[in-house]
This record gives sequence, C-alpha cells and structure tokens, in this order.
Amino acid sequence: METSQIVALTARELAVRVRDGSITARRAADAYLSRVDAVQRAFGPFAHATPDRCRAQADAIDQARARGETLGPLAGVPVGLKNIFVTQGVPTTCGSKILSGWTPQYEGAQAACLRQAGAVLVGKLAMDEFAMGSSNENTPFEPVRNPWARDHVPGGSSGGSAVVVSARAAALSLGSDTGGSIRQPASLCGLVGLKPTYGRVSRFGMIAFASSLDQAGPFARDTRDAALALSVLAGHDPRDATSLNAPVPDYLGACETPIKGLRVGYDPDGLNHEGLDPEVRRAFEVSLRVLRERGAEIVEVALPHAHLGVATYYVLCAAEAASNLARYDGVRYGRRQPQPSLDGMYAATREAGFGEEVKRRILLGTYVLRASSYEEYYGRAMKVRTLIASDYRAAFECCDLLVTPTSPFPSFRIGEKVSDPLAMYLSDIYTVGANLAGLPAISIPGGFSQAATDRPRLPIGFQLLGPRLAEPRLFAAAAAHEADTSWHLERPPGIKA
Amino acid sequence: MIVSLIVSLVTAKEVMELAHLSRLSLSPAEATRMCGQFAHILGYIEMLRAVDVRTTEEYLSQRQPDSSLREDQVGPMYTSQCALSAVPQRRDGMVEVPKFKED
Repeated sequence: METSQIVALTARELAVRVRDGSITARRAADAYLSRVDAVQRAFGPFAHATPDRCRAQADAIDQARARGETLGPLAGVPVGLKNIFVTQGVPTTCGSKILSGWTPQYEGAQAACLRQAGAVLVGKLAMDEFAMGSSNENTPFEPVRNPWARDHVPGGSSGGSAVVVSARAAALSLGSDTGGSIRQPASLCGLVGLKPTYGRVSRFGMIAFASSLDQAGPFARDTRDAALALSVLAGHDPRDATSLNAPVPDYLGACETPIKGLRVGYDPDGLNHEGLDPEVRRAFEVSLRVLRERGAEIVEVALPHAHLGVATYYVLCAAEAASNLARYDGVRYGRRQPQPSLDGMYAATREAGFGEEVKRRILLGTYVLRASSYEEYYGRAMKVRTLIASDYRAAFECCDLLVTPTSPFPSFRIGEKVSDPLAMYLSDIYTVGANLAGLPAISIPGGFSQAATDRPRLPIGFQLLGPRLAEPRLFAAAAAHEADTSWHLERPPGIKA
Repeated sequence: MIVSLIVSLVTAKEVMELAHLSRLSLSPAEATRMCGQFAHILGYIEMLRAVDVRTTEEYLSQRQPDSSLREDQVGPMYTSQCALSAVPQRRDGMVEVPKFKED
C-alpha cells in the first residue's frame, strides 16, 4: 500500500489492518515518518520527533502479532503528544525554556495508556508555553503554522497537536484543554477535538497549569477516531486524586445511537457577542439545521452568566498558575541561572526561563491572591463560577446537549493579536464555560469561511457540550452531524493524503 | 473610566512588588509594560464586580478529590542516581544550591 493510502486511513481503519496483518505496524510507522520532515519544514508542529522510538515500538507490535498475541485497539497507530505530557526518556519542555534539557525519568498516564493500546509515538508537539495561549505564538521557539494557511495561526495552546493530525504527520494526537486549548485549535484546523469531563482522563504526568480546569483529550480527523481514543484514555487512576472512578462506556458504539428526539439547546444571547464573526454565526446556523434535520429538537435556553466566563477564567487560571509554577526555581530540574544567593538564583532562573505571557499570568495570579485583593478577585470569581455552573445545570433540565460556535472567529494571521493579550483571551469566550463547570465538550468541523481578498478559506468549528460524563451523547450527536456533512473529509491545500 | 481608575491603582512600583512576591526579577521597562497590560486586563475583569454574589458560595467541584491514604505497600522506586539525574547542579549525590544560611 502506498504511503498516501496509508495516511489516508482513519486511526481505527489502520489499527484493524495492523491487527489483521494486511499492513505491518512498521510500514504504517514508516509511512507517517516519511512525512515528518516535510511537515516540520512547512508548519513546525514538532518540538521533538521520535522516529527511532516509533520504529522500535512498531517492530514490537509486529513481533507481538507474530507470536500470536492479541493487539490493542490502537495497534500500530502513529500518535503525537503535546509536550505537556511526560514521556520517559524523551525531552519534555512544556514549551518553555525553563524546562529545557529536562528528560523525565517516568512515563505519564496518557503516554502509558496509548502505548499499552498499541499506539506508536511519532513525537512531542509544540505548544504555547505552559499551555498559556490561543495561537501558539507564546513560545521561545518558532510559532507553529496552520496547514490551511501558512501565515495563519493553528490556534492554541495545543497547536502542534492539531497540525500533525491536520497535515497527516500523525493519525491521532493528544492535547490538554484548560480553557479551550483542544477545541479552539481543532476548530481552527478543521478537526475533531474533545475535552472530556473533568477527571475522566488521568492527569498524572500532565504538567499542571490550572489544576481545577486542566483535562487531557484527543485530536482526530473524525468523531469515531476521537471516541476510540477516549475509550483508551478514560478510566480511574489512583495517582490522580481528581480522577473519576466511573465505568467507561462503549464510546464507539455510542456513535451509532440515533439522535431523533434529542433536545439540543442553544443560548440566543450567546450569539450577540460583538466579536462573533458573521461567517461563524452563519456556519453555526447551518449546523443547527443539520441536527434538526437528523431529528433533534432545537430549543432555546438561557445561560445568563456565560458572558462572565472569560473574566472568571482569567482570574482563576492566573491564580492557579502562580501557585503551580512556583515549583520552577532551578533547583531540581530544568534550567538554572547561577547566582551567588538562593533568592537571586530563583529570581534570575525564573526571569530567564519564563516568557512574557507566563510572567504576566504569574503576576496577575499573585495580584488576585494577595490577602488585600483575595475577596475582591479570587473569592468573587469562585462565586461567579458557581453561578456559571448552576446555569448549565438549569439548562440541562431543558435540553440534553448545548451547542455554540467553538471560536468566535476562524484562524487569524500570525502576529495579528500578539500585542493585545485581552483580544487573545476573548478567543476563549465559548470554550471556558465547559472548563469552569467541569463538563465534556467537543469541537467538530462546522464549515468554512468564504475565501475573500483579506482572508483565505478557513475552517470553522461547531461545539457541543453535555452534562458530566455525557460523552456518549456528544459522540452520538457529533457522528450524526458528520453523517450529513463532508467538512471533516476536506484536507488542507497541498496535503494530498 | 474603570480602566483609568485601575491604572492609578496598579503602579509600576506595585508590579515590582508583585514580581518580588512571585520571585521574578523584572526590568523597569518590563514592569512599565506589564503595568499597562494589567490595567487593560483588570479593567475587563471589573465586570465581575457588577454581579450580586452575596448569597452565593464559592465553587466546589461536584466530586471532591479523594484524600484517603494509599495502602502502605512497597511500590516502584527510583535509585538516587535516577532521581538526581535531572538536577541542574549536584555534588556528592545531593542537590547543590547557593549557600543560604550563615555559618
């Protein structure tokens, strides 16, 4: 089978063929690895490619098959991991100079789940530093480029994870989502991106940014691949105190569930946001119609505090980041900036190691946590978070799912928003709610903007949110939407596979 | 109006104090730049003040983290060499840091 035919397969088709022996895992790995250099030159999604490890893992799969062993659900599937996931023996920088040179001594839960399912690691992927960003421009390294338009951002913070799947340098990838960092780049790159319920996937070995919001999840070309990935990743892990001890349902099977009679809610006020691109709104209305025509009942709901989500999120994530990032002091791992005094070493190391956005959030977090401003900012934001979560609970008494645009606008040019942090933060207006309330949410391809003189044709995402642990319902609706649309089948210009 | 009020509250001097608390050594130019960005961001966050939260409790996750103790069993262990392998500066099998206590 030709390389282009192999990389055109979905992850689940590829795993079936590796299991039945019609393609060896080594052949599949070589097919993807043959694309890594060109994709890296064009779009820069890799922080660290791992071709030797990939081939060795693939050979081990083929040897296990030859011995008659049962292979896993992702047998021979090449995957990429955001560089926030700890990988034993592979450099893990979290996109920051402060962790340059750090090669972990242990394997995180996410890398272990994928490996045990038979996946092979193509590489570690570029990201905004410590997952703080919506464009992949908050980096001491080269910014990642969007395969749909090279002068545009891929979104963030899991930009590299979106690009490797979009550009066919991996069949699946893993990202992390604190305020939209899986769903927004999935939207901007024309992919499916899932943020599972808080606690559904172990965070052991995922470098912490804002621990009450962080969750790991997959990028995939279609809904069923995302469902397959979640079936491998989900489950209880006693090493993560927030991990849910709940049964793991049949996510792939859920994709076949009809949605006739499913109540799909949307908040009309949420579409009045002044930054909402008219083409995104138009695409949202088309996707609503697709669901209605599949038998869903569309209902209007109210989320009266949703407009407070971004302000609430930025207080809370900054506070948690200031606390979590206190551990980077040059003592135990990563970079150290030598100084005669211990305090001087801490400050010089952090000053040299952190980029501007990370410093901004640490300072903001320190500000909102000070005793004199705690009640005014952090305490108040935690109360507004309660109101936002209550809105969702009330809405889910009237509907089974909620839908919104994923991002208020399609991708934008590299450098366009970099000087205005607040404008960048507003990218998250539709995504932060799911993190604040701990809910599962998925972004699926929902159309394209029209090519115009000032911007090329770009992907637009459509977001579905559900109650806690309602991932099967999300997959059912996403698969139904996919059955009547073809946006997920489109490839970026120049990507032939 | 709100933004200008905040500008007067968060001065470059205050940003330097926050930097000290955060163990960051900002240059004066960085502190001035951050000061302007703070004004913009805190001005936006001001919208939270308009919300009546007098009867609202702070958010609690529906499921609180499990704080029970693990079984007291021997698990995987790292050798000291492995545990120290990522330490930027070592001496005699220990982490070395600048002197921080007078003799």
